[in-house]
Amino acid sequence: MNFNLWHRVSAGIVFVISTIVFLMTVAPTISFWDCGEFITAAVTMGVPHPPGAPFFQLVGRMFSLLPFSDDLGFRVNLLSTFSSSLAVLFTYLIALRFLRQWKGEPTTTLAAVNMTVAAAIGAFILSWSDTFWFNASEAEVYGIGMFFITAVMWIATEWYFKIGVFNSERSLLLIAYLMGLSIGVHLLSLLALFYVFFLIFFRDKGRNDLSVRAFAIALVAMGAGFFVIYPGIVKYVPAMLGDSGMRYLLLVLLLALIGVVAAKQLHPQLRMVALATLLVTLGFSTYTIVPIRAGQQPALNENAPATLEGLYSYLNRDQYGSYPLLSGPNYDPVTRSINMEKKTFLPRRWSHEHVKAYSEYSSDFEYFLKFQLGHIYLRYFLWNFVGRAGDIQDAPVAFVGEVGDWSESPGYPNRYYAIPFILGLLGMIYHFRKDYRTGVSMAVLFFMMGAGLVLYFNMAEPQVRERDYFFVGSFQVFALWAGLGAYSLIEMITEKLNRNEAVGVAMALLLLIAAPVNMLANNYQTHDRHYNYVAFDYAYNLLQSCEKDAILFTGGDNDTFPVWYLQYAAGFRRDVRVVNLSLLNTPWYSKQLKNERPYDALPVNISYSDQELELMRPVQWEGQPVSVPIDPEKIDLSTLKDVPAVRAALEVPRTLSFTVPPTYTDPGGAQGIRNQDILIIDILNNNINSRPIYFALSTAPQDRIGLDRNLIVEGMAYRVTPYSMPDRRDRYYPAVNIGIVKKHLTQLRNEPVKDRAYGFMFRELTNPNINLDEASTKMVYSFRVLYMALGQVMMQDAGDIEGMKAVLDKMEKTIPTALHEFDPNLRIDLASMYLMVGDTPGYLKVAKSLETYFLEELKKDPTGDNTYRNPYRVLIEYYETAGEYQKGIDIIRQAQKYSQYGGDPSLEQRVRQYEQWLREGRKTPPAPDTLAGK
Amino acid sequence: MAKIQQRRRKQVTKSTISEAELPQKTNYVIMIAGVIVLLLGVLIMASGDAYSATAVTYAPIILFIAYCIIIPLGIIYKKKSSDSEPA
Repeated sequence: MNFNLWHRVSAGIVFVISTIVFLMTVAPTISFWDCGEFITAAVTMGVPHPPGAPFFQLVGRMFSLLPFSDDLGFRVNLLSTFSSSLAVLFTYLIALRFLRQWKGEPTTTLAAVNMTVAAAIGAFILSWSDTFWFNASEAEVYGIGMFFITAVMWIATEWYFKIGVFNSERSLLLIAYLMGLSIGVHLLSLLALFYVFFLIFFRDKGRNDLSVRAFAIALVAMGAGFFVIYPGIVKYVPAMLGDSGMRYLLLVLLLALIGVVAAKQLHPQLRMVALATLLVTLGFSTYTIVPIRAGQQPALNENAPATLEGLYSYLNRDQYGSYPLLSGPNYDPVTRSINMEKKTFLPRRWSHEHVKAYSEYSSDFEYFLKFQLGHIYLRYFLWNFVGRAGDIQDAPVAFVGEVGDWSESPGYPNRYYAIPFILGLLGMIYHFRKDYRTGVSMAVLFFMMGAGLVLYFNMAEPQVRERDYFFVGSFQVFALWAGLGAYSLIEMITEKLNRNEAVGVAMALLLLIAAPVNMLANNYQTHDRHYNYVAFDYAYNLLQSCEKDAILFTGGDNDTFPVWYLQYAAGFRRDVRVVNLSLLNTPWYSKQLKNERPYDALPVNISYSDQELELMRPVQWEGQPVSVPIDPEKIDLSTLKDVPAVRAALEVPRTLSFTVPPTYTDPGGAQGIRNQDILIIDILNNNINSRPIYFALSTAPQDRIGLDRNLIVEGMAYRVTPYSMPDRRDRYYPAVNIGIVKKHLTQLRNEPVKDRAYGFMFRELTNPNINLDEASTKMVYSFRVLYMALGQVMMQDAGDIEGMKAVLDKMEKTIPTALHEFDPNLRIDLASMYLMVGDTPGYLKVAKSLETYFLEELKKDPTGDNTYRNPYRVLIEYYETAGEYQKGIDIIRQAQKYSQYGGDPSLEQRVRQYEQWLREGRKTPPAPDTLAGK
Repeated sequence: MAKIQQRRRKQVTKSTISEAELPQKTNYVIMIAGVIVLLLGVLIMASGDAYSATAVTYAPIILFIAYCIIIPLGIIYKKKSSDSEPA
């Protein structure tokens, strides 16, 4: 019986199932971190952060032209979805190829089923593993990167076995071309070359030719081969192009290579190598679009690499500085700082900013083992194949037993009971026993994309976010092994039971359910981004918080990239000039703000010349007052007139005066301010009278350079004003522009508006199936704080109890407490706000969730004196309001025994009152106002 | 003895690239056509400006066709006759 059709159909089924699940869970728009930037780069053919991803942009641009969904972000997300499904398919095909080679073509249907299901187990473990699935649902480069790695692995495997479509030597040329293209996505994919190199080595050598010497020579050849591509072609070709003399050498090299390819009398192998080199270069040539586009000055133009020198420094990631690998300065435990004088071999603790974390480790080796290898790589590896405790950063592995409270979104912990892990280990052993040559080749890839990258990245502690996505190539190899491991178990049981293949099939189905299907069931909820619009809505709300032609200072990736997407790719509020404070330290960025007008937005007035911006350096500074002249005739403060501090002022202040503290300390101990701070002062000086200026609420306090007393909250941003606001540290925000914030928070929209309009968007936050990642959860939390801040100020400034009640009601309707967890301190605040407005049911709902929390706290610390709010006070209030007087008496007795607060004489009075109410059989307290504030 | 035989057998399977496995004339024609289309795409992109459809839409489409269709086709293209062997 011929199973060719069978194999084709089952491969199709694996691809379709994987695609369907990805389509069901893919994000409907942008996600946080780099996605907004990459989508913008694809849609507008802009220039993203170094080292760029031009091939990703080309393909992403094609996806953005697809005619489904209005959301361009969604369309580009499909690129990850589609390429991830292909990676799953290739993994399936590779695993199946191994099995067919080792076991021979199946002769019975049951044998074919066993092979297919085993290979599918590996493919689905990959598809539904934590990291891979995460990458498949958003527009990042790792999905398409995995496409390249698995495609190259598949082609090389087929070539190795001389079988199928890729049996000819020409397949190696296709591999060379694909590797060239993959540089235009992410350099990581190039590591797949080592799998290819090892297969070439093993295929060319007979068993007896294998010697240490042959292996050593091969390793040198592989190193040289890799070196030709990286850094050879990737770095030196652009560098040589930039130099007029070297340019001719390059031309000669190119012609020589073409000559070799064309010379029929030369050895075919040599001609192949020359052609492969040309094809890698051809694939890499997608980078020509970077300087072309940079020269045309699109809105997104990071580093503006319009020249060849610029391109070289862009590819070289000069902007991010360098870190030592082989030798360099290292942490000195005696001085507790980085010793710049001494060069250490293989330094692991090299960063000035991370000295505090470094000091926790006794040696470099311990740091490498515990943090870099253990906390970074091994933890992620086990997340994928054993289980994950939660989505809060640094969440540990979940195997069995308690894992603690590591989750912000429901659904965690995800447990796979280490079944995929065991299958992977079995598969690795099985692979080595059946065919150590391909086994070694795969193991090399597994280690290079895992532990090898750990060595290479040399990561500092702590990291701003989880970094599991870097290591997905290593997880892919292990998932493939898990498929082979599944087959080894199926084979074992079949043979034990007299070649009874039906039992084998039962085993195969059992493993299918125990490993990948269980992973699907566990991970589905936590990987379902279907309803997550938070990044889009947050960016929309931030933009709409600004008046027309505003300047908006933002702090990091998550308050900048989504905003770029909205402005440049989707066309919202293009009048606002976003100024990212960390980029403001680079001259190319400040020059763009000053000289360019993306989509006709006004330029930011900066008084420094281009040359001064180029040469700008941090200056010494010890906390000095700064005053910015205000012109009352010109400055438009009309939207501020209802703010009490503004109403109280007799006239517009003639200056905006504030004290700028030093913002950084150099390694020598001198204090100063950075370029970004110098430029904030300059931008205030030159723009404050002509247009409104804002800081995003998310900016770090020290980045607001001492302006805090001059800020009024107008939505998701602070407006800078010349008026001095009251120093109200008891509030969430000292000053809130009630009129504007109330309009934003109560007249909500479901459809975004391109121009200036009131009304925020909070889509799908009331959907019970919503699942949010850590970054989105934090944003939703900030939305809630804004509602509460509005309520607080309405009550305190305007005495508007009814207004506060309406705001709280609106908040509960928009961000239901039951669907969005938030920390106990804010819940206490919310509970007391409900009491203030006399909403007892509202109070009881929130306070009930606090009862458990505070009882737990009291178990840990019965004095109750060390928390933000005294647990006894909160619990007594709750029991009294809920009418649970007996519990109230009990908790008062406990307070009197253990806590300082228990000494309050009024407590005894309360106990007597409760006893009386208990006798009367009363269920509810008399009136709320007699309770509050006692 | 067995060892020697094994060595001989292995040496037979040792891969040497034959002229036939190198790309043929048709392949080079397609590949060069791909490179020409690619250069055309680059020129068209360079003739546009920051927000023009030439640079942002048409040139990327042309480049995509060159990089993802014509050039790969040029590498793997084979005459039908040799394609009939079973996979």
